[in-house]
This record gives sequence, C-alpha cells and structure tokens, in this order.
Amino acid sequence: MADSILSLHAITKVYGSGEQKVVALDNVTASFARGEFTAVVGPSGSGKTTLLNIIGCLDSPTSGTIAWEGSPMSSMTRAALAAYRREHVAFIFQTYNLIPVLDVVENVELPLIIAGARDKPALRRKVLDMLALVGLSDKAHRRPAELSGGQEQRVAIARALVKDPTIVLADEPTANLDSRTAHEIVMLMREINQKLGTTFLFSTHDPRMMEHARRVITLMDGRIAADEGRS
Amino acid sequence: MHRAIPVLWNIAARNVLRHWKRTLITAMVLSVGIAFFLLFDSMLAGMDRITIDTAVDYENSSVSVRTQRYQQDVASLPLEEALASPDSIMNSVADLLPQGSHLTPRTRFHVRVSNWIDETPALAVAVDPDRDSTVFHTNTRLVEGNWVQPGSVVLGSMLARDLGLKVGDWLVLTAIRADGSMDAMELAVGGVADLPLTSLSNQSLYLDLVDAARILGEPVPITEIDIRLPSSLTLDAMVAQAEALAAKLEAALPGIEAFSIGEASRDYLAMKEMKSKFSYVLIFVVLLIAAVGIVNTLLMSLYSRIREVGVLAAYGLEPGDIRRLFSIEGVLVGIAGSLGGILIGALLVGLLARYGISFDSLVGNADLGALPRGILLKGQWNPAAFVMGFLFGVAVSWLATILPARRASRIEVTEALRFV
Repeated sequence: MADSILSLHAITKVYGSGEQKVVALDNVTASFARGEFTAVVGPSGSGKTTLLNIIGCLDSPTSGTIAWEGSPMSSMTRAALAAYRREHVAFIFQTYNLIPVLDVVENVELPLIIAGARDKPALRRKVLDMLALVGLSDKAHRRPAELSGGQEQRVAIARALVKDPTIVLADEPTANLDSRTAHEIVMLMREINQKLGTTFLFSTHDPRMMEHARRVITLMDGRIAADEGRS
Repeated sequence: MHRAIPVLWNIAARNVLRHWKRTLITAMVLSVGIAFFLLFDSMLAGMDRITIDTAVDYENSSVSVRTQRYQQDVASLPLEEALASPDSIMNSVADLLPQGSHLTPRTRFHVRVSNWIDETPALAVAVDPDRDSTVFHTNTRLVEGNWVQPGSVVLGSMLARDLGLKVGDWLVLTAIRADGSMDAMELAVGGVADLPLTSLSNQSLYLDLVDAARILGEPVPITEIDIRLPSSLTLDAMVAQAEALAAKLEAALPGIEAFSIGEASRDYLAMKEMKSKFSYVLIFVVLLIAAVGIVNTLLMSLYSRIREVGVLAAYGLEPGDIRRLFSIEGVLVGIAGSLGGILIGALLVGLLARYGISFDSLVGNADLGALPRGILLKGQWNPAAFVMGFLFGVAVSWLATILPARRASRIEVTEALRFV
C-alpha cells in the first residue's frame, strides 16, 4: 500500500495456556497508510482492542511482526516502546481516562511535557489551539469532574492531537456517549483527519461511526473477515 | 533535568493533596514519631545536663585541684597528702582562671558522728562558708536552719534523720588527724540540707574551716581547691572548658592533679553515648512504624489510580518515571510529616526547656545513684537532633516508597487500562 507507515504481518496473540487458552488475534496481516480514517469493527471478543493495543505497543504479539515505517519493533525495549508511544502514537479511550487532579489545560499539555517540551508559552499556545479546535476554550481551567462525558472525550481528543501524533488509536471512543454527542465526536475526528491529515484507527460497534470511515476492517474470532475501502 | 520531572512533581503534589485526609494521617504518624524522638532526646540531654550540673554544684566543682598523691588514694581521703601551701596555690590558680570563675578551698575527711546514743561514720567537708557559696550550691538546699558558721554544722538531711538530729541539737565529731592522733569536738547542728545526691545526703556534713582547724590541728590541711567556671551553653562545651583548664593547671603547677568534671564523670559520659545510641534505635523503631503507614498509603493510592498509571504509560511515561512519581509522593508525605514532627517537637522541647518537669515525678523515690533528686529536669535544645529527625523522616519515607513505586512501574499498561 502506498505511503504505508505501519504494517502487521501474521500477528497472533494468545492469552493463557492449555484449556484456558484464548486466541485473541489469529494470523492478522494488514498495513496502514498515513492519513487513513479506519474503523475496526466486529462483535465483542473479536480482537478489536487487542489489535489496537498491539499497534500502540501497549501489548506484544505472541507471534508475527510489526514494523513502523519499515523497521521491525519486536526487539525494542520497554523504554524504546515508551519512546515510540511518546513520539508517534496517541490514544483515545472509551472511558476518557483524564487525570482527575489536573485541569483541562494540564491534561492536554501532559503528552507534550512527557515528550520533553520546554517552551512553556509555545506549549500553552498549542494547548489552547487544540482546545479551540475541539470547542472547549471556555473550559480550559475546569477539572474533569466538572465536565460532561462528551466534553471529557473532547479533552481526550485534544490531548491525543496536541503532540501531532502520526496515528491516533481510539478504542470505542463513542461507546459511553449519547447518540448526538457520539455523532459530534465522530465528526470532530473526521474533521481533524481531513484538516490535519492525522491517521485515525478506531474500534467501534456503532454503525453511524462506520459510515464515516474510509476503510473498515471487520474482525471475527481474531481473524480479518473483511477489509473494505470506501470512497 | 529529566524531561518529565516537573510534571511528575505536579501530579504527585496534587495527588498528595487530593487524598489530604490519608496524607494527613500518614504524615501525622511520622510527625508524632519524630516529635517523640526530639522530646526524648531533649529529656536525655536534660538528664545528662542536670546530672553533670549536680556533680559540679554539689560534689566536684568544674575542676578540683589536689595533690597527685591525694588523688591516687582519694577514696581514703589522706589528710597527709593535703596541698602543701594552699594559699600560694590558690593565688597561682586564680591567675590562670578565665574571667567570671570562682574558687574555694575545701577539706574532706572521714569522721564519726555521735548523737550521744548512736554513732555513725560520715564524710566531713570543711568549707570557707562565704567563698564556698560562690562555687557550690550546697547552701541553697537548706531545709532547716542556716548555712555553716563557726561552731555549728550543716547535716545532710538523711544523715540528720538517721541520727535523729535537728537544728539546735548537739553532736560529737571524732576524726583522725594527719599525724594519726585522734581528736573529738562538740558542735551544734546549725542547719539541715536536702542534697540532691543520695550519697551526699546520707553521709555528708559541712563545717567551717575554723572548726576543722580545731579538730585537725593548725594549720588546717586543705585537701582541694575547687573551681567553678562560667556556665556554658552545652554540656559538651562545659566539659571541654573544664578539661582545657585542668590541662593548663597541670602544666603550670607541677605535682598537682587538676581533676575536671569530665574526668569525674567519665563513666557517666560513656553511658551518655550509649543512651544516644538507644535514642537512635528508638527513632528507628518509631519511623519503621511510620514507614509501614507510608507503604500502606502509597499502595492504597496506587490501587485507586491504576488506570491513571496506565494512561501515563500509554502516553509514553517510562517505567522509571512512574517509579519516580510514586517516590516523589512518598517523599512529599515524608517532608510534610517531618516538618510537622520538628514543629511539634520544637513546641514540646520549648515547653520542657522553659518550664521543666520535676525529675522526682519521673522516677519516684528510686535511688538512681549519680542521678539527682529534687531537681527540675529541663529540656535541652539539640539542633543536630532536629536536623537528624527531619532527614531520617524524609529518608525513611523515601525508602518506604520503594516497594509501591516498583509495583506501580511494573503494572502492565493493558491491565492498568482495563482496571476498574
């Protein structure tokens, strides 16, 4: 595939052993190009979250290889994997996972500080731009507990985008939101994808989310059952 | 500086404040432990101070000048080894003393005291009543009658009680002179002194050198010249000052032994070192208990924030950073607890130093040998103990973070993110 940034080859992930053995991913091969807006769909237990975790290097495959821009990642240390996550990957979680003791601005700037950003005014400007992008400029100094679910997820999106990641991995980002807010979040992600060219890979059960995807990968029992591109 | 350190401090500080009740309780355990150590240390130092002060005030003075031969056989109080020309020695000694010092002659000798019915051995101390009061505090402990005057004696209260003597009664003193002859004389009981050392109270009596001349013969032998140095702020300074003067006197006066309070209290001072070691054991035990509290607090904090740890790791915080985050939280609790400890400790030590407590109320009527009775125990300030208490508190808190911090850094990110 043209301009491929990430490729998976024969990825298998097995949890447990013997009778407890669960094959979460079974011989999955796929590659992802820069700027994709891809949905990973499938029933519960089909391996969606495991796939995202392996792509994000939060988990390692039992067998198979992953390559980032052509370089294999299987031999990387924990610290090197952390560096990969810092530089290239951002996550959006189903339950938002904002740090409750930090306010909105501090939550959004967290990835930049973790990545070693030093220029405080530039950092703050970037954070405020991101908050403007997700429509939360007026909530900059609120704590997560003072926000609605949709607002929290917008903060999580701003947090994911603030460091200009190559790829954003979103695990069921709208699952905890009402349909109207879920729609707004999908539209926001799509807008950012088009405007900034950020690659999005998200898992979902929501058919309305799938409608907006440019590519849909369907998983069934840990295998890719379908991989469809859309125009 | 490590790239994530500022944010680690920021998150750690906020977490510590977020669970402020838990932090407060843990820090308080540490504070109480440190304050208890400081109070204990202050009391021990106070006990040492009053013990040595009592020895100076009632028995040895800062430096006691004797002949070397007298000192070698001091237990038998050999009158024949008295100072050969006490007036000239006193003048020489006076020239070498620092400003504000005082000196007085004394003669100690064995006597037998009779109340006409019973007789008991005793230690007679012949004094120049006016000069003696500038060096010793014996005259301040009178519970009956007056200080020494020609023709009358002051008895230790226990000796007076044992012989059934009170002010106005008469007694007979019998003593052996330097030449071996024996003489006796009748004296009135002029006063009774409640002396803080049992060894003095139950066997000492004080008489005028004029009367001693009558019983021991003219010229009265002077067995020692006692010196009081100006008071020092600390015990160590006091002992050092006395030892320096003793060395100076011995160098200047051949054949003379200058017996300093440091030398007189050598055994006690050695015990003092042991006691300080004991107080360190105490702080260790107390801080160990506090450390268990800190471990517990951090583990509770960890389990309530596992998802948070997962998010930080997902965003690229390395295991070492996560370990650092929890260490910082523990150290912050440690700093808060240690600061609280030294503040509470300072308050308690301040009260003890200002008002003191009756030493007798602590030990009851027990006879503690060198430890004085009827004296107010006042706390001593020991800045080193405050520094040590603070550093110990922070260090123990940091050590207590090792286990929880390591556990936090080893959590699998995927498990942490799934944790409910």
